Amino acid sequence: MLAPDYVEPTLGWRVWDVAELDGRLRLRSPAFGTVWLPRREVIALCRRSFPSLAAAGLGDHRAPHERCCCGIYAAGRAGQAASYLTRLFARRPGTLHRVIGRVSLWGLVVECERGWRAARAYPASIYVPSAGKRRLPSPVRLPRPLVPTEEIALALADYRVPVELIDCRTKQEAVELLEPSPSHP
Amino acid sequence: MEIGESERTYTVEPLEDPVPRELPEEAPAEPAEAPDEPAQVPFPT
Repeated sequence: MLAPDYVEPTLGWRVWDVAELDGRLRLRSPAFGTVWLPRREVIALCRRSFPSLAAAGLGDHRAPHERCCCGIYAAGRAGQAASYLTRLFARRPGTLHRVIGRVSLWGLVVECERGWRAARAYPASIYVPSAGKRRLPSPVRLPRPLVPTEEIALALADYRVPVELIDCRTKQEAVELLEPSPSHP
Repeated sequence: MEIGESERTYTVEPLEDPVPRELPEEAPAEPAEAPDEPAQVPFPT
């Protein structure tokens, strides 16, 4: 048995959809629709088809594999993840809002140029953008939540990690709040 | 999410579980005292 390289989870940034599922608000991956349940880690699974794996010279493997693209993704900077706050995805049924947060990554982790792909993950903190009331052009403005953000934050307390409302109308405002620039004396 | 090319692989085994799991239900408490009267055991016949 080999000793692990690290004993603290890697912390990255990611974005989740908030969706109503069976009458409860849950986090859901915007890209693949994976539901993140409270008090249960998400475990990565390689979804690549066999022909695609064979073409890449890969066989069946545990996710993440360094030469594949599988694993649970997280960005190294809030700004990278925040671009997904405004990026358009087909709105899946039940989607009410999109939130950003820090995510703990552990197990096998593939470090990439600007983030990570991991075998296991769970939210470490969740920030719920208020999206403001002032009118801004839609490509700039964050999507408006379909239910009050206070209600979303209260429901996400099920995850038993810090949940915070952030008052921001644009991606840039969100990033400034989450990753403030170092102040210079 | 665009995170660039893979650079290296490592393993993480957190000392503390990052998942705030349900607390296990408490086992029923053992009786604090012995019964007042000893159980009656029949004499062998």
